[in-house]
Amino acid sequence: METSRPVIVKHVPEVLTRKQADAFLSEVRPLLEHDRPQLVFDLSQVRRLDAAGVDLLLLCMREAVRRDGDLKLASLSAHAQIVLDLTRAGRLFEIFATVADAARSFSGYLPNMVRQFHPKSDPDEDVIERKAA
Amino acid sequence: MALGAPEFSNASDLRGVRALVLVGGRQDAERFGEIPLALLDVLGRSVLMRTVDRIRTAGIGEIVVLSDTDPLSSDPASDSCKSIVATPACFWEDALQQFRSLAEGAESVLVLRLGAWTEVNFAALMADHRRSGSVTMRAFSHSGKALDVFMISSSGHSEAAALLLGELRDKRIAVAEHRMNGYMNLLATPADLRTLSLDAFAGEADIHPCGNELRPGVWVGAKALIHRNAHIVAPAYIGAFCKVHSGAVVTRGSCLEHHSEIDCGTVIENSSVLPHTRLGAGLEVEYSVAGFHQITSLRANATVRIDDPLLIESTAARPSARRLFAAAWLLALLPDALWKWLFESGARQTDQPAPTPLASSTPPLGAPPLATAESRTDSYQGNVSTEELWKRVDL
Repeated sequence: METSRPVIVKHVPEVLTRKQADAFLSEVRPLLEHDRPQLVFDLSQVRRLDAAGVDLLLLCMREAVRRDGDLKLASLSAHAQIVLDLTRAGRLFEIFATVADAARSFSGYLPNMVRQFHPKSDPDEDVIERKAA
Repeated sequence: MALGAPEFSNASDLRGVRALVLVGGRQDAERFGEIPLALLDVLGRSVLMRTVDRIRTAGIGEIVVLSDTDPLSSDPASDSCKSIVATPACFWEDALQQFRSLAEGAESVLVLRLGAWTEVNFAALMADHRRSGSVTMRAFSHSGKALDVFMISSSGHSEAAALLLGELRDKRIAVAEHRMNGYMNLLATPADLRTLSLDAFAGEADIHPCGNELRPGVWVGAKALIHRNAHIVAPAYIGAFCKVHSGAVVTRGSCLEHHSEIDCGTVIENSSVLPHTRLGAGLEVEYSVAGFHQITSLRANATVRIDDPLLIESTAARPSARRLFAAAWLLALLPDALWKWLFESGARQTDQPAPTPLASSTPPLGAPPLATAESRTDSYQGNVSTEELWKRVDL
């Protein structure tokens, strides 16, 4: 029996700099304190992001991973994309084009999803391939 | 030919020609932020000054530069031409006034608007102009694109007025065509600026880096400082007074213009760093143009403004202001350093012995040997390594 946990989507404010980081962290902290949190940050509105903002995103991911959860980024604005690439933080996150894609990805590796991606695959074929290997 | 103008035996003689170089002037002018692209440096010298050099080398003595923005650099060569800053509102009226004053006693006036970097053969343009007998001749690229390069007879006041007041876009004026075969870059976007740098490295554009070629493909300007642990991979350009810190990598045709600074561990790949720009530590600037608190990602085709000095910062253009900022920075550090020296060093002496320089520099047993500058030189082609910690390049 599969139990699905909720995926929480959080919109990141337009400005995420040193001044706004604390306020955003206090908003997000309760979400991070869940058991195995599944978070998606929507960065489509972000117009200003600095090193403190990137630091905050990394802090959130660290907290989520510590509780066996994950944080994914979606719908990055040009500013967010450029700053994440510049600081090399982009490669540490899973980034998706849309929030829906990011939310779907949390269940992407469950066995039933694998079957959904390969509807015609025969379970016996898999056994044969494994034997051949 | 205008009455009273001197006769020349050589058709391509440019002695009777004067030049009017226009920078900006249009709402949709090619800019990086607020600054016209023509005023930005490419391998140590701005496109404007390189154009002035080309005009002067061709044999045109009197050159007037009319710009709608203050020139960024105090290039000593800029003294060789008359430079005027006009307000954007009356830019074209001022251009016409300058044309009229230049036309007095001249045979023709070369009117050139930047923008584009065009390697027009001015002598051939003049020869064509004389041969055709037309009042106005315009240069076209080999693919047929109209360029903002005109040769106008000094008698053609009405044509010049129509052209200049029409922002060089009026198509009703009859112009003779001159097809150029040289290199051309429209310099319409920051991506074109990057392309121009790469074409200069490849030798396609007639642009030579200002500096000494220390290694094949690595040009370094005067008084640049490169840390011995920095990696410079050819082709690359390090401008005058640049500072490249330890662990920084400059590669794939990147150019650092004068007074720029790259902090520890930052990678500059296929990018241009504009003058007086400081990039923070541990960054990755790839396929971008960075400077003046802005970065343009050419891959994302987007320009963003960044106000965080940890990421990108513009240093003062004036030396006196730079010294003042450095002194203020040093003064701001003093109380903290004094506190550490007075209290923390004393506490360390009582609690635990301070590590000796020998102990701190000795690697632990079983650890791989530390790479030396010489061994890295073997693995990186065109890498600059020095025996001292810092290399000051005095040319």
